[in-house]
Amino acid sequence: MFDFDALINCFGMASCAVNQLTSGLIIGMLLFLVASGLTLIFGVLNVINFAHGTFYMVGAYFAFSTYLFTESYLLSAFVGALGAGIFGIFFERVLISKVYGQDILMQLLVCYAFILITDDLVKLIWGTDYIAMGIPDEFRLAPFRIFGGYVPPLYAFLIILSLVIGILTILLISKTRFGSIVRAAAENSPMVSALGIRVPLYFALLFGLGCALAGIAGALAAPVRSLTPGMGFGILIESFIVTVIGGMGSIPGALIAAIILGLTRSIGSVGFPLFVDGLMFLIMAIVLIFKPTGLFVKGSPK
Amino acid sequence: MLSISNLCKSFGGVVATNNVTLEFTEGSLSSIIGPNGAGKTTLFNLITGKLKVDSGKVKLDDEDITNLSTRNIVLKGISRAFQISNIFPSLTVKETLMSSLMSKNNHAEKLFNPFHSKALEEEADELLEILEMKRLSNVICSNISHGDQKVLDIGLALSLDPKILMLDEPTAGMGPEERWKMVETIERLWKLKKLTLIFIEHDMDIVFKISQKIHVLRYGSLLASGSPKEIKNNEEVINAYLGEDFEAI
Amino acid sequence: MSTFTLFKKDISIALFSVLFLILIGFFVEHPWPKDFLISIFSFGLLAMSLNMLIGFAGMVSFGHAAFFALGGYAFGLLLQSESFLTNFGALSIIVAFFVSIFITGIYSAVIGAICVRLNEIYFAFLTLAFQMFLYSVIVSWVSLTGGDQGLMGGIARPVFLGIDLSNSLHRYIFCSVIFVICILLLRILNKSNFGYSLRLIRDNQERAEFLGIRVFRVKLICFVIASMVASVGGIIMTLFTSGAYPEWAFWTQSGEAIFMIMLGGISIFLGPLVGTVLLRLINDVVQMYSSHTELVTGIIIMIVVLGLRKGLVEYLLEKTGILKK
Repeated sequence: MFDFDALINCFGMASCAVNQLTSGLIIGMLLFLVASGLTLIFGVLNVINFAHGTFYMVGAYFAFSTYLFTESYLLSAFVGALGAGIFGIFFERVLISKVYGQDILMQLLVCYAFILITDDLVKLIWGTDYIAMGIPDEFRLAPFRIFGGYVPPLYAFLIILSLVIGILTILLISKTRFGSIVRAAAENSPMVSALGIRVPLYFALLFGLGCALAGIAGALAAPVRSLTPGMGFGILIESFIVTVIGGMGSIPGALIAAIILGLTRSIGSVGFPLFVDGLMFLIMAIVLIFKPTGLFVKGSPK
Repeated sequence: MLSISNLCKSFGGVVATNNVTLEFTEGSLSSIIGPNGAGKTTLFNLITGKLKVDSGKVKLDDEDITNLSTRNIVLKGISRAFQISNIFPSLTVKETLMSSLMSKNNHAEKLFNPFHSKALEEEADELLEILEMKRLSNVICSNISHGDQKVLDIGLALSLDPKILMLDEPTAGMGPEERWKMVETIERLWKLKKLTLIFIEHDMDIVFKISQKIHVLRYGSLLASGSPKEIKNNEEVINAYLGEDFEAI
Repeated sequence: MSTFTLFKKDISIALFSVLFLILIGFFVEHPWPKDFLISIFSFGLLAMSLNMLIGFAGMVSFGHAAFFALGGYAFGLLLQSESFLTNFGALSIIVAFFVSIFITGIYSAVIGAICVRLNEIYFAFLTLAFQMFLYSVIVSWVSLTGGDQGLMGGIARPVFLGIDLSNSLHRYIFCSVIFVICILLLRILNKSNFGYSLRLIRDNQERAEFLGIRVFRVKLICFVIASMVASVGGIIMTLFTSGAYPEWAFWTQSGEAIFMIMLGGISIFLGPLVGTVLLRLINDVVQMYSSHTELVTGIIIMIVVLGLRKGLVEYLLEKTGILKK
């Protein structure tokens, strides 16, 4: 189960270490995008979007189809994000908003049914087989050489773009008018409605934004992951672990926790492949026991 | 006797309770008054273990009970009723009282004992009698009137056989007639059960009519303590809280 | 007075049910009704025990099937182990039965200790996360569990006390007795002091605390018992299929269990059982007419949840005026 020699060997070689670190960062940054959407929706609407992984999947498939037609990776990523965002707004308005404030049982069931339906629709449209998009033409370039390791340009691009999107999201929430309205509505929605602002619209937009973040993660991941119906669920669980560790509602917390998890995954795959999931859950359990609010949030989730 | 000394509590930077020292002698009936945000409910929460004390001591009959768990404080004989009636919406009135009696008898974790037992029902009936709620025995709690819910809330506290009963605004949200009925009920229970009773109240008529001792809080600190007469004539209290038109009472 | 005399009525109903089920076993020749009933026993216990959490105590778990799967796998693995079988011989089944339940109890106590004190959203998500953890262990630990393929190769069923579980009638009767005992246990717990402590917590946790109820402890006990009953459901399934499958631990199994409860109604004691039967029938009908079962099931759930906004059974009872709202 444990192969510490392999681990030590890997870190003895700069090339292996660099490879593991970049792949860890990629996993982490994509996870961060999905988790920041989840945590954003929770922070404002106090709803956990159990169907969040679905939008990751939808984003990936939209991007894949767009890429088939346009052969432009950037355009596909944009379409993936937009598609997931619009789909998210539809989901919020038509389905989940109907059970706001109701028993959590109802919310669970709506999400459960929604996942079943979309997974099956994806099977109908794209088939049940694994789909690989492959490295897009734009990024078929010579890899960078860093400390003896090779870093493909696509990987570097993914890491940087995810970080930029994360920062833009934080700015959008903290600095813009949209952000301040949404934050105010989260505190006191009747008061904000009384000012003549259509709170449900803003909530729907925010929900769409959260889903778009999951969608763009899926779209960006399309070249490096294989696409399959039901691919969203694994990432939902992982991004939940991220939000628990980082603290529900905190985007910076999500960033740090996602990187921790990404590195755990990539380093673990060398040293203790069977124990990677176990270790992730162990970290989450420890955080829950000693700081149930997560590492970066004050207060208590009781 | 319940005594608290130098009790402090702050939330973030806001001081909610500031060095409060008070004594409640056995069998007394005292009230705590003060403007909104004076820290009255916080004080209750500190005494009953709902909030952790920053510094200071809570003592019951010379035993230190500071920061004990809610359950242990209940076991020591302090129980409370709440500002917004705080009951169990899906149970009937009688079941509610039976449940809390069950808890008092330390049977709450018995897996295989039927809940509906003769002994427990009789105990609950007795209590219903005292509360004058017999007619509502089998009504689901969410369907009884606001006033009755408040009485039931007090009944729940009473069922634990407390030495000290703490009531947080027992007459809140009631009409004038209902209020005085509630006051009668409270006085009656106090005498019957020989309780030490502490209550928070906004209605000054009620406060001055039934309290033996009044404690005035403001900005988390104790402003004054004394008999109704002393409080009525306390310049500071009049200026700070009771206001000009107070003379009219 | 002992528990027996006090729950006389429930115990006699249970005895009659067992008798009735056994009669079905003897007089119905066709295997279908027996097979159908065994699967109802199994998933019925999953749903009924989940309702002990959701309906009795207000703890909405989204990961209850984990304990079902754990019970099934533990039972199957024990009965596949040569050394276990040689050690316990004829008693193997009985020992494996109790050991599997015990293992599930320990595991659920650990999970419960972490999850139970959290608020309801966290509770739902964490139970789900830990279920997926178990799923990933089952799928990746191929050498032990057979991974994706499930526990193959059949399980040993040594004859004990004249009971031969490879005989379909014996197996059916054995499962019905276990099933009814578990339902009776849930019934007694529901009407006991403990059951009322759960109601207090469900209705108003804060107030329950001020009545001196040890909320954490009571919830944890409830979580462990519910998990152990779910594991019995898994054991029945393992006996029935002579194997164990990773789908049992997949999250959809928990989603399905929640829908069973919702269909039957959480406020009626046997509601989840009715829901189990209903969902089973829905699944069978959908499978007959469409290859896209998930799509259709999803749409049905949406219609029930957003259209009726309550369980089908509760809805019908209210419509016909039997149950007053």
